[in-house]
Amino acid sequence: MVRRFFALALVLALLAAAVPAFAWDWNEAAMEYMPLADEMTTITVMGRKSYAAYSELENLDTYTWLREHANINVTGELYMDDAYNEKSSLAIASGDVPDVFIKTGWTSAQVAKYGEDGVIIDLKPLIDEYCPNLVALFEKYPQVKAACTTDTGAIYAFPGINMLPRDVHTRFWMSQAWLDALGMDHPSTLDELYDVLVAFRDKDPNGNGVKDEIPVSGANGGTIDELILNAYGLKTRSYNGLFDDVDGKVIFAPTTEAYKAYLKYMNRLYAEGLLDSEMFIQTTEQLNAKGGENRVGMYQSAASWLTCTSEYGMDHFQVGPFTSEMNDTPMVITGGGYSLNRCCITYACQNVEAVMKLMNFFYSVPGGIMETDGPYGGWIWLDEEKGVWGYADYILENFDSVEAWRAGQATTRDSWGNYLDVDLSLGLDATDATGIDLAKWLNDNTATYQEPYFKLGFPSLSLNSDELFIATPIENDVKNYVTNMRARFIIGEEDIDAKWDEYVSAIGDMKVADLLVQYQSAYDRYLAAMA
Amino acid sequence: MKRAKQAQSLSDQVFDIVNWIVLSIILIVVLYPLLYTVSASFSDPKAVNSGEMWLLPVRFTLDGYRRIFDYGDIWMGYLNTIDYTVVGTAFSLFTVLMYGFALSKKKLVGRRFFSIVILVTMFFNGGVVTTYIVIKNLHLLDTRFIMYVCGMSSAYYILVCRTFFMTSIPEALSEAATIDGCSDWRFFMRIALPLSRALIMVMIIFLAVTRWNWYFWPMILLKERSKFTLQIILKEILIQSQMSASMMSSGMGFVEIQRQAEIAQMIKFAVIIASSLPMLIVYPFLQCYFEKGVMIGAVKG
Amino acid sequence: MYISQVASQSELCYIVTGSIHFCGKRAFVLTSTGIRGAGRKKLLRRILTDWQLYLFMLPGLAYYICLEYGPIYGLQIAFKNYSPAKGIWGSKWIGLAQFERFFRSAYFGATIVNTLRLSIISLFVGFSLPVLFALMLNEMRCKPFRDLVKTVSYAPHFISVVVIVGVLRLFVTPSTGIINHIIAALGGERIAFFQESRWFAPMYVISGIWQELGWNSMIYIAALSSVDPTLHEAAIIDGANKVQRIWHVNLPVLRPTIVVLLILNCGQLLNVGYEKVLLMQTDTNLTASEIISTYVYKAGLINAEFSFSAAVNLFNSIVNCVLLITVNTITSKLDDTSLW
Repeated sequence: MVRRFFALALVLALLAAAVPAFAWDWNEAAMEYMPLADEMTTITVMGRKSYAAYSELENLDTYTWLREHANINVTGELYMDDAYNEKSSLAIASGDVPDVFIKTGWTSAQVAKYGEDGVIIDLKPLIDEYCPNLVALFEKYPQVKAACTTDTGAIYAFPGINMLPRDVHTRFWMSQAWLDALGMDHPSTLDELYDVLVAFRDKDPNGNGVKDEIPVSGANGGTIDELILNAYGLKTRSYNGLFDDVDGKVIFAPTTEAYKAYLKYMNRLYAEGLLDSEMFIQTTEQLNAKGGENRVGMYQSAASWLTCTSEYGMDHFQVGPFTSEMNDTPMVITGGGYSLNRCCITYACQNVEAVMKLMNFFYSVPGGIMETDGPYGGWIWLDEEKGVWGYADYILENFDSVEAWRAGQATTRDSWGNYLDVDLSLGLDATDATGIDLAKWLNDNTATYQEPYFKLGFPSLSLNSDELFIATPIENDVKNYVTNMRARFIIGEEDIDAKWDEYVSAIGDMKVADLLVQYQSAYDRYLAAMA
Repeated sequence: MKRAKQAQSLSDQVFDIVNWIVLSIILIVVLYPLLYTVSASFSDPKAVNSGEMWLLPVRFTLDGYRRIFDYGDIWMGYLNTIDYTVVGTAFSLFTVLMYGFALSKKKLVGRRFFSIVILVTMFFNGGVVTTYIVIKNLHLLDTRFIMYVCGMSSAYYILVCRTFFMTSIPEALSEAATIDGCSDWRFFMRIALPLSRALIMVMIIFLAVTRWNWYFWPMILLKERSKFTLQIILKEILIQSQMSASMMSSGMGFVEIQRQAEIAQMIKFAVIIASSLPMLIVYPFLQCYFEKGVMIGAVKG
Repeated sequence: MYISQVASQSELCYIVTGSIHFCGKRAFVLTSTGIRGAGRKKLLRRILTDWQLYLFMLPGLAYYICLEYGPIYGLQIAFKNYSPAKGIWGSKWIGLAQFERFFRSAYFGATIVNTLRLSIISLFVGFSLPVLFALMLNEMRCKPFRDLVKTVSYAPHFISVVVIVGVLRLFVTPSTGIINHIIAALGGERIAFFQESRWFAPMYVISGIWQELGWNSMIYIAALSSVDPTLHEAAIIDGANKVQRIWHVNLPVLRPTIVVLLILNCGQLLNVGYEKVLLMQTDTNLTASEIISTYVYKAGLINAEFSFSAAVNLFNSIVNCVLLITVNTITSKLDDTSLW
């Protein structure tokens, strides 16, 4: 209860601090960069149609705006995910490449390969010359620069940088309503968590008279693993994260003592009916069905209202982090706030300067917002006097809600490299039926419970092609084995203590030592680039 | 004599009863999941996922179908697919039947060679990239023609046709026809084909359905939206619902998100119905037409 | 009138041994006299006489040459470190290195065993059942019922594999699935089908049968419709009951088709597609569900490796080819049926 009041106070303080932040004019800020080219320049792209872009690329509002104000005409094709992979490879193979590949979704390996072969150009000298915004961001967040740079010192793809606190970590939820019903506090150690879960199971916190509660649930084999792993001191970001670092040395996480402790803890939960026995075989939809009946107490989800519907989800909070007998520093592992390989410029591009200037704009505050949410200013603005958002008639007349506009017409979100730090979407959906601003709610929740403990996790490294040639088959095999054994250990099909040595030696037989060598050299480069 | 007849009818009767039972069981076992799928496309997705719906629709809704048919391009998709299927099947049908017929003639010089030529392609092919490049060099990319022609021939079906011709058209018949001055072409058109109505019907079904359900090659080869097939459009609809459901990182209105997620589920089932219904309707008509004309034994006695 | 068989080697001399009515005209049947002509000239002559047959094959051949043999130089991707930018000719030749990566993998043996298990069981079951089904349908006298069963049985073929696995998952969920409800009602213990490795192959095969039974039986139904009813009448007069008639009259008619399809399917033994298996995989049943194609697919996800998947596919093709040739040789010796 005390915690709750404290949280509320914090939220109010944040709100108060937040208001002046939106007192600038997006239009003004954006127009400082315009125009981006002296005369109308055309850039062809090939991108993914991931976010329900109903219209042709050219007709999306962001690109209309760019045509009007920036003198840049972006044209090209958007393909669905599976089509995109094939089509981009075929385009490269047959020589029909666009100027820019956007929203590539390529792995760092692919990017490095294409860069080596000259399909895409080295961006580093161009960034230094045309993108002061990105240079500044690289200095502020060295981990981004380190992750983008290949072993030859080149940068072949633009990253997306999203430093919004609510987007950098994995979210785990627990029902506040259930805790209140039982009169218990937020657990902060694994032992306390165990007690809470036992109470969930036995004491009917959802109050329907039936013991139908599932203390912890998940789908497709994934659940609260990260919380437990972090509690035992591992800095991995998912249950099949293979690597962690100890003082600059890359270690293989699934054979550590911490991992063994995690397995034992999970096995205990499973054996005592605290973990959903259908966790490995049910789909997300089936999990959501259980959540919608208020039967789930703790789970991993992008948003509580997605899993447990808004009826119950608004009474949930982001649970964690925990400490344990092995580790007393609570940590919430973050991904570093960047996503790699957003877009690449090909050898066929004639207007490189225009593209670089466009990227520079996208890495500014107004540009980043436009790339993600669509152009503000003429379409959406903040009416400071009334403290509400105004929407252009165009949106109100043609779309069911602002969301629909943003989803379908505004922009190809997250296709180009962009930068997000200011959250202009707060307060946007005032038309919501419940009157709750979900973005704000999520922000506040994160700020209160998670942000103080943020810590950078093991990064996703970019290996060069020689390292990859050795690493890929080993990594594939090892991942298969670890995933399978983890499941069997948790269910109890194999006894952890009895089978542990065999497990470790089987992994050793798969040449995991070679794998570590490859990752170590990539990690050394990363650390050097960070310095 | 009468006793033998009675005994015969007893074992036959038993056989018939067993036949009825087994076929009925098969009917039910196959039918139930089909009905389930149809019902699921009309039901509230929550009921489907929680196991509440098991046969009849629960909380009937047309939202899934509405979403599909509101999508303007779907009619274009239907038309294109019908076009490619009808013309493409005609191309395929003749290719396969003629090749199979030619192979069925023992007298053909190089019969073995021509069989092996097609069999090799069943195992070894150049892969997506090289085929794409070849098609590009032929200037056939993004054309209707390539949609008719691609996948025109299949060693599998050719060999089935060959076998069928060999077993159901007696060698003697063709020899007699040769002597009578009947050319191969006339024999094929006037005798072999009419005798093989059952085969033709089956081939049409196989070939047409394969083309109807095709996704991969049309997706790769077509660029212009107006040529897109039904499967591509349906996949678009499916993906769009799924994607917008996962797009919440800047706090969408929850009603919108939840509705999207649920509709995505429902659409999966509705898409199946929308895509396969035309074929399912056409089949009985085809069947009627061909069964009327099955003739047996042109030369006997 | 008896019709003699004219020998298939073309001879230049015939004698009349009989006549038949054909196309309303009288035709004469000729038998060879055994006189043979010179070899080469004969061959050429035969080719020229059969020129129409070669024309029959022309469209098919044109297609194969352009679109199947044309691109076949792409096979060499398996021996190179392919990069789309360099193109096929420009990519570095690495010989058998990609194959070695596959053979050395810890999962090499397991994936092959799992693949073979699925395809062999599917072969046996997926072969015998459609034939039985076709035979039974053929014996059903009541036409409306027969048509109903036929139409319903081939409908599942149209349902995409995604929906089938989705529905299967819903059916076998321990807590809410109908199959488990039935098991519980019969007094048994609920089974987590997707969790246990030993249920993977049965589920895969059974759902495959459900989907393809009617479809695969279509060919046999068509073949059965061409059975000469006089043969059946003769058999009835001889005192055969239904079962015997099926065995002695219907099955022999189906035999060539069955054998050809069997051989062709043996040539696909290692080609189990990844889509359905990937959808049915869970972390717990990986020991039984990791097959060659899913393994390659996942490896490709890490690093878009054209060469690796090309190499594994080539390996599959070679093994399949060898299997096909072996089976074909066996059947041609035993049954005189051969694919070529």
